[in-house]
Amino acid sequence: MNTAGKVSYFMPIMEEIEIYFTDEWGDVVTDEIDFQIMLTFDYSPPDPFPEPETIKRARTKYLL
Amino acid sequence: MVFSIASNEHTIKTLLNSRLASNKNITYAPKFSLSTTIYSPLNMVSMVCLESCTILPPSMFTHTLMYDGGNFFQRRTFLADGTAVATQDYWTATGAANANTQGVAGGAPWTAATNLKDIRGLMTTLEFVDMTNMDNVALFLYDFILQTRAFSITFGSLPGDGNVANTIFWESNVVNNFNLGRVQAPYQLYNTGGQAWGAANTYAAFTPALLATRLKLMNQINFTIRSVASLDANGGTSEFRLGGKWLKVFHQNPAKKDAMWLEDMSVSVQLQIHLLSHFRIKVTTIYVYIPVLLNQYILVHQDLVS
Repeated sequence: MNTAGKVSYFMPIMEEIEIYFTDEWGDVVTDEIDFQIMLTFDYSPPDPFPEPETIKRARTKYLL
Repeated sequence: MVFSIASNEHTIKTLLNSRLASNKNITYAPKFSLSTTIYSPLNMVSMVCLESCTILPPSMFTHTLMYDGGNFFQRRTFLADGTAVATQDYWTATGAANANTQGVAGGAPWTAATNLKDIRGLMTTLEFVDMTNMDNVALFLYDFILQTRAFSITFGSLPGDGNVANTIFWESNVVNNFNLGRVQAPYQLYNTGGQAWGAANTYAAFTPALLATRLKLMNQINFTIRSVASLDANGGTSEFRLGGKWLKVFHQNPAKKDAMWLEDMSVSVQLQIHLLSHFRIKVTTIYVYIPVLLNQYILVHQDLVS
């Protein structure tokens, strides 16, 4: 399984990441672990509000 | 310092390797300083995703688990009327030099501790042993019986075993007034042609190699451990009580150290143990902790499936 933690936030500035693990009984594994992980940060700008004149301009251009 | 790759203007992938951590002051929770600070645009929903995770989990036999303060492995002895007599520590202590005179005329009584090595010591020798190799597992179980001088282990049966239980156990064997004992096993299951030990063209005695040959036929090993009858000599009885974090080695819930579970963990009333094939800690959840602003952080926790 490989799902994501999805969080909303305002203008985060991420400079540091800390990793730890737990076992099947919920105890933090306090022995050193060799690991390699890949994280993906995704963010997409919101869709811009449509310009009031967009449709009129399109009609003007293509539907004359 | 970690690598960050911007695959497009809205996605940043970050590769974190434990050997390249920026700060390992807490060895089990390394910190990574990003080479390039990630600034997300203002006021929108963003997402951080754990794409992949490759782990080499640590051994079960490390100092952390074996030396946990809550660990115990006790023998309790009782008189014939059920009165408790003594509690002996098998986890960190031994029966010392007297132990191998038990069963010898004039030697130590069976009510004394029987083990020649402490069980924590036996366990910690395995930290750097490859326990995926069944030869090593067999050698350990054989040594465990020989050094504790108190237990039998019953494994699952295989087709063709008939009604003979697959039980190996410690047996008294006095030689020159010392009773180091030996590990015994049913010749019907382990010896060539099912003949008695020492018969012509067969093995002279049971060995770890014979146990390994049999364990290799199983893809999962379950066994039951019990105390041997010799401990109950002199009219009394014995039981063993196990508890603490170290029980994770046998895939037992460490919470069973709670007093109400003690009876269930008594070896004398049979303890079923599932042997983890790899004897490595099963890491099930990863926590990614990312501070973003004062008093704000992102915590991603993800269940891992091996």
